Amino acid sequence: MTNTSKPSGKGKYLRRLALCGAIAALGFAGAAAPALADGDAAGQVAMRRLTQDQYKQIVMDVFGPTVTLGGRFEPDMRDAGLLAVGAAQVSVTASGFEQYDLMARSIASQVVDPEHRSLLIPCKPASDKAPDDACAKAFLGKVGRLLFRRPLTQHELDAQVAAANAATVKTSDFYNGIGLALAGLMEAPEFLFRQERVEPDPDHAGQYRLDAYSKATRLSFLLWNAAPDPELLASAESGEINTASGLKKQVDRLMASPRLENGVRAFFADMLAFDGFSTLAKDTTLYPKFTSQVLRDAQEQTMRTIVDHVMVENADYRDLFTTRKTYMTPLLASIYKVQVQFPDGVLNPWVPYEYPEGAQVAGILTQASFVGLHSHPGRSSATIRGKALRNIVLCQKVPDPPGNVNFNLVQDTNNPNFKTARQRLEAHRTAATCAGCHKIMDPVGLAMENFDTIGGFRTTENGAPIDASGELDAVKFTDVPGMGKAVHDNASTSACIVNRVYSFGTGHAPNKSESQWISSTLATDFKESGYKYLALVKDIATSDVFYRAAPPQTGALDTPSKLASTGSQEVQK
Amino acid sequence: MGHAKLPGATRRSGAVSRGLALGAVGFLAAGFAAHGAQAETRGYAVSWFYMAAESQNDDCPQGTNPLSEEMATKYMKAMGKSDAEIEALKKDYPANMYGPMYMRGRRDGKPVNVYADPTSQPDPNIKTAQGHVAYGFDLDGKDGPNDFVDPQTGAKGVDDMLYRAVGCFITQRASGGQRPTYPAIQWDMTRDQMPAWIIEVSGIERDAAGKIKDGDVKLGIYRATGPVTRNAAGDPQADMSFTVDSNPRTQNVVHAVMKNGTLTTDPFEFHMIQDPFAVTEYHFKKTQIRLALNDDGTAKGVLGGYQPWLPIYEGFALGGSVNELNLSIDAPGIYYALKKLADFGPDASGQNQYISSSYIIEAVPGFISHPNADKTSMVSGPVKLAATH
Repeated sequence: MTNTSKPSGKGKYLRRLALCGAIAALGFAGAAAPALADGDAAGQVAMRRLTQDQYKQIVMDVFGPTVTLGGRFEPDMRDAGLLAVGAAQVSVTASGFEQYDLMARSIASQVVDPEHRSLLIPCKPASDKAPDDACAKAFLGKVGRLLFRRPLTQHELDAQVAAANAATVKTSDFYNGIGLALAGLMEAPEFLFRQERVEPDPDHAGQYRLDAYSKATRLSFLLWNAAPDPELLASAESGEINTASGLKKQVDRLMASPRLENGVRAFFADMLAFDGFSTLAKDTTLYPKFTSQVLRDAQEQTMRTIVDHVMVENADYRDLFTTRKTYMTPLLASIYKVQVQFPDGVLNPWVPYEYPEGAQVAGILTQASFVGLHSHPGRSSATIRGKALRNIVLCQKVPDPPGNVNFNLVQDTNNPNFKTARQRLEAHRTAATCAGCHKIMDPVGLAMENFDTIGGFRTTENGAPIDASGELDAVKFTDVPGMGKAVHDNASTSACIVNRVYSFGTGHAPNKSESQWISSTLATDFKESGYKYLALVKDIATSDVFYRAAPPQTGALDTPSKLASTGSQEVQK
Repeated sequence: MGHAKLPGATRRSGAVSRGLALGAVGFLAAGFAAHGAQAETRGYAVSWFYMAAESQNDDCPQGTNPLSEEMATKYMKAMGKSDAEIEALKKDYPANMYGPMYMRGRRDGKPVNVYADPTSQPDPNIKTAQGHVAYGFDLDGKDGPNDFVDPQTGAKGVDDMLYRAVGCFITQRASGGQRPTYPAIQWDMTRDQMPAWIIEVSGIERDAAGKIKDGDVKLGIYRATGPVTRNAAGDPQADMSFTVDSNPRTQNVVHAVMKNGTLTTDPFEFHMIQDPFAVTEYHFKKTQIRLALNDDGTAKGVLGGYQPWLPIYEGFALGGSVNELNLSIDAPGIYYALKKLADFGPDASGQNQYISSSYIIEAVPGFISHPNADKTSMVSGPVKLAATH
C-alpha cells in the first residue's frame, strides 16, 4: 500500500542534498567564530561538490577506463578566484540530480554487466537470481569505501545490502540488485560531496582537526585531484596519517607518483580559469585560423609549459611569466607564426620549442590560452587582459564596470582617428567614472596588444604601430618581456600563488588567522625554496594548519553515523 | 617531458627567412630592422593548383559541349538502346547510367571499359576552344594561329593547347579570377591527404621603403613531408611549418628574375608528384613560372610548360562515369582532342607526346625547413632548425 505522504525516492535524495546545503552553511557559520591567535590558524571545514574532473577521475580510478560516462554536469561556480572554493557553495538542482541519476545508473549498469562483473565484483553469488548477502556486502563495502572516501557505517552498508536484495528479488537478478545499490551509492551526497569532519585535536587542547579520512581526502585532492587510493585510506584507517611521519610518508608517496601531474594540472586549470574555454568563441570570418583544435591545443600548450616548468625542471614559479620555453603543435606554430620542424607521420605532434633570445613573449601570459581567453570574439581587449592578469595572477580584485558605461568608442575598431587599442582606451578614459579602474587594468593589458584575439603576433593595428609599453604597480616597461619581468618581480605574484594553492586545498579563502600564517610562514618558506611550486605544495600538505579546523558549531553533524541517522530522520519527517 | 633546448630562429648564410621574419619581426623586436639590407627568403604552401582558364563569351562559337544527360543519351542511342530503355536508365539520374556509360566501348562487338580503352569508341569530336585569350607563356618562341594572348601580361604567342582541348566543357571554364569547377574539385579533394607543395623564394631584396627590389632571385618548388591543414573557412591554414621531402622527383630549383614584385623563371624541367586522382606525377618541359609575391604574404601566378598528354587524360578517366556524368565531361572525347592538339615532343611516328598547358598557382605563407642530414633525429621529435630558411 502506498503512503502518499511518503517522499518519493528522488524526493528523499533531494531532501538529503538540501540537508547538505545546510551542513555546508553550518561550516561557514563556524568560520565566523572569533579569529584564533597567531600561530593557531585554523579554517572552516568545507563540504564541496565534486567537480566534473574529480567525478570522472574517481569513476576511472574505481572502475577502470572502460566504464564510460554520459550526461552533463551541473556548472561549477567560481569564488575567490577558484572553482575549488566555489564548489563549497553549490548544491544540486533537481535537473542536476537527474543528470547524476542518469550517470550513476549508466555507470552501475556497466560495472555489473557480463563484460565487467568478473573483474570488478570480487565474489560470485551462490545464485545469479537470488540475493546473496555476503557477496553484496563484499562488493558494496569495498566500492562504498572508495566512493565515500571512508568505510561505510554498518547502518549504511546494511541499508545498501537490503536495497540490493529487494531489487534482486523483484528482478530475479543478483547483478541488477547490486547495480541499483551501486547507483544509489553514486547518487548519495556522501559521494557527490566531499564532506569534511572534525575531531578534537589531541595535541592542541581545545582545538579541532580533520578526522583521519577527511585528512586523507583533503590531501589526495590537493595532490592528485582524486579520491584517496586504498593505501591512503589504509593510512587513515590505522591512524598513521595522524602522525607526522605517517603524513610525511603519504605526502612523499603521492608526490612521487606520476599522478601528481593530475593535481598540478587541476590546480592551474582552475587558477587560470580554463573552464572559460568551454564557452569561448571567436569570429572565424576574421580569424579563420581559430578552430576547435586550436582551442584544445592552446590549453594543452599552457599545461605542458607549466608541468614542464614546475614539475620537470622544478624551476622558479615566477619564471612562468618570463620563460621562452614552451611546446608547439603545427596549428599553434601557425598562430604564433613561428617555424618549427615536426616529426613526420604523427597526428598533431607536440614538440618542445624555445623562442630566441629577445623574443617578444612573456611566458604563459602571451600564450593563446591567456590572450585568447581574455579577449572579445573579434578583437583583443587590453582591459579584459589587464583585469585577468590582476585577478588571476596577482589575486587583486578589480571592480566590475558601472552599468551605464558607453563602450562605443572602444568597440569601434574602424575609427580612423583611433586606430589602436591604446588610442581608443585613452579616449575612453577621459570619462572620470572609467578612469580609476582603467588605470589599473589598461597599462599592463596594453602590453599584450602585440597579440590579437586568438594569440597571433602582430606589430600593427589598422596600419598603426602597436606600442607595447606599460606599467604595473609603478614599474614601467617598454615591451612584452618587460611586462613579463614586472609580473615576475611583483610581490603579489608569489603571494597570490601561495594563497591560491592553500585555498585550492582547503576549499575556502583563508580567514584572518590562516592569512597570518600564510603570509608569515608559508610565503617565507616559498621564498626560501626559490619559489618552487612543488616545495610550496609539500609545505602545505605536511603542515598542521592545512588540516586544522575551527571549532564546530553546536549541533553540527560530525560523524558519519550521526549524519546518516539524521539524514534518515529528516527523510522520515 | 624533457625539454630539448632549441637554437631558436637561425639564419643560413646570410639569408633571412621571410617566413620566419613574419613571425620574428615582432618576436625579435629590433633585430630585423638592422638586417634590412640582407637577402630574404620567403616560404609558401601551395593552396590551389589548377588548369588555367580565362574563358571568353565567344571562344566556343558552336556552344559548349553538352551537359552530361544529353551526352549520355547520345551514347546510349549509339549503343542501340531504345528510347524507352534510355528513359528507364535516366530515372534517378545519373545513378542508373553509371554502368552503361562505363562499358560503352566496343571491341569485336563486345563491351569494354571505355576509360581503360578510350579508342574503343569513335572520336566524338568534342567542341574545342577557339578563342585567343589564355594565361601562360610563349613556350616555342613563335606566335602562331593557335596561340593566345595572356590577359595579365599582354604577351603574345602564349601556348596553351590544353585549354583548347578542354575549354568548351562547362566545368572547365572560368574567368575573372574564379576557379574552373572540375580542376578545383580535383585539387580540393586531393590536398587533404597529399603532401603539400611548397615554394621557397630566396635572394629577395627590399628597398628602404620595404618594397621588393628588381633583380635575380632563386625559386624552389618542393613537396613537403605532410599535407596542408585547413582552417575554419576550409582553406589551407597560413603560416604552417613544412619540411621538404628529400625525394629528388619533387625537387625543383631555378633562377628567376624579380620585376615589380613578380618573379619569372628561366625555362626549366619541372617534376612533381601529385595524386592519381588528378595527375600522378607532373613532368613539364620548358616550364616557366610567373609568381607575384603579394604584400599580404600570399602569392599567385602561372606555371606553363609542355606536359605529357596521356596522364592528363588518365586524370579525367580515373573517375570514370562518375566524373563524366556529374561533371559533364567526355573522357574519351578529351583523349582524342589531347592527342590531336598535342604540340610538342613527337615520337617516332610523328605523334606529339606533350601538350602545352598553363596552370594557376595560389599560395599562402608558410615556413619551410630542409631535412637534416641525419633523418633519424626527426623521429625523436625535438626540433633542429639548423637547416631553417
